[in-house]
Amino acid sequence: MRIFVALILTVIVSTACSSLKLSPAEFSWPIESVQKIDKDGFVKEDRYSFSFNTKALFMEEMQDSMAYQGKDLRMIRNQDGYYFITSKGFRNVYIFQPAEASLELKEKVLINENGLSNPFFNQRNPYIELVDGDFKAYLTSEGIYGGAK
Amino acid sequence: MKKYIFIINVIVALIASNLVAQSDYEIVQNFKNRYQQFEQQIKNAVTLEELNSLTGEIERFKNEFSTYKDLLDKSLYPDNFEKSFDKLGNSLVLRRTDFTQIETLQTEVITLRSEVDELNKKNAELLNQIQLLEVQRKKDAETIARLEKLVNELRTSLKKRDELVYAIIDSLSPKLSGDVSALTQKEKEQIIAETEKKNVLYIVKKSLRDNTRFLEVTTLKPEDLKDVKEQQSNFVSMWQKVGPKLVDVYASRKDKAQELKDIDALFTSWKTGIQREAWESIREDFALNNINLQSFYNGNEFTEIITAFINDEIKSYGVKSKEESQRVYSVFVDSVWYKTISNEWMPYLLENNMLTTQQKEIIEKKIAEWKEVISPKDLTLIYVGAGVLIVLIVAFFLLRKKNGTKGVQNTN
Repeated sequence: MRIFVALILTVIVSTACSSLKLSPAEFSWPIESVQKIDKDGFVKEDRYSFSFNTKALFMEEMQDSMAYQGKDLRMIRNQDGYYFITSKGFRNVYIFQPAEASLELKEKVLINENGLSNPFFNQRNPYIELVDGDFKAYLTSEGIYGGAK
Repeated sequence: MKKYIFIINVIVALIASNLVAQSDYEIVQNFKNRYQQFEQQIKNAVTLEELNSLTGEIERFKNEFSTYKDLLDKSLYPDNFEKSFDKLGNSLVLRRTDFTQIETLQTEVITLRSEVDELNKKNAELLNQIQLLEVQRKKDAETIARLEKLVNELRTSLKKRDELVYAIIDSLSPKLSGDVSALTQKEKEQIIAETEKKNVLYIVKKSLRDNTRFLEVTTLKPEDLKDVKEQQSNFVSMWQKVGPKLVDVYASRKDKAQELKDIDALFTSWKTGIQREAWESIREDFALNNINLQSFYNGNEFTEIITAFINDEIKSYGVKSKEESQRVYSVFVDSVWYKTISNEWMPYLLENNMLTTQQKEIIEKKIAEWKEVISPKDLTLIYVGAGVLIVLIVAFFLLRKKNGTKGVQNTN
């Protein structure tokens, strides 16, 4: 009986701990960050103090892990904490979520088969606005909201 | 209700962004660039009018970007929109203070200029009087005393004039404090105009010439020369603050660029003048005692001439009268070398690397050699010994004779 009570208490306490949630939380960046990729393929964001390697991203997008050289990366974070990343010449916008010492791909959103010519992001809570010339789309962590315009 | 407000906000945002598709990032970057330009313009402003016109431009800039205040508040971390403009405002106020100080300095400079002119006149008169007295220096004690008084008066006056000149040079410093190569042609012209107005190049040249002339017409002691050296090094460090920058500012004006080169040459001539003055004063010390040496202007020449003089004296010992040789030795060694050169000049010469310890030892060895010739040690001892012996013998015979006389008297 005692063992049974102890087990129930342990389950209750551990359940309570794992369900602890601080909300609401807001992660959005007011403006996108445009960063030059360094010679080793890293981008470093000083204001938000984080950095990551882009080689795998370029491998995925261009099938060339060294294609990052001389490129800028545009990124922005939405209010839910997802990172939206793209660059000039990319066909896709990549949506990442933070994971343990990494960024994990959530969605890969195809925007233009011919590649984006001059893309930029704007924060338009709850959406991320993507503009490329006349093209404009509103993005969520799931992809394009309501189709492109 | 909240849901409706949220939807309305989204719709408004969508409509607004549909009107103009502009990058927020570009807006912020544009703001930051313009902001930096204003900061630079405030820093580079060369007149109060320029600064005042910036005030209006900054106000227009603020109005232009006030539409994006929310975006900028979030993006200008750690500042925000208002804080950024407060900072610009503070920079303007600070820079205005610089100009107020410059204006005050300019007024002071005008006063300084007239004082410098007066002192220049006075110094010219003093220099002439000293030169006249130097010619008849050996005449009497009264002339020497008058001369010393005049030299002191001139030294004080030159120092005072140089301090005024420093103040005038210093008044140029604020405008030349930054990177001169970054100045626009207009800014350079303004600095040139100010330099011309203050007649800076002329007064610097005049000062340097007077200081060199002071060395030429006076005979100074080591302690005086130490003062002059210090004065020279102060002048050099003051000029170095503005001189090289003025060279850049005047790069397009060949005549003035030459004038700046002349100033450099005058500094060098003053520096060499100080060394020359030391050697001439030493020679003068010998001349005052009727020992006329050839001119020497460095340690090697000094050592060579002194040793050559002693060698001549040694060679002529026995040719001319011994009394004369001893007199020359006594004047050279006792009255000049040990009394003045060794005591007063030697520390200065060694300290300023004008003479090496080896050269000093060579001369001293030569003097010892000379002494050997004039009054040899062993002969002196022999003379003294012989003298004592003679005295003892004479005393012995005298005592003996006296005792003998007493014995005879007693017998009688």
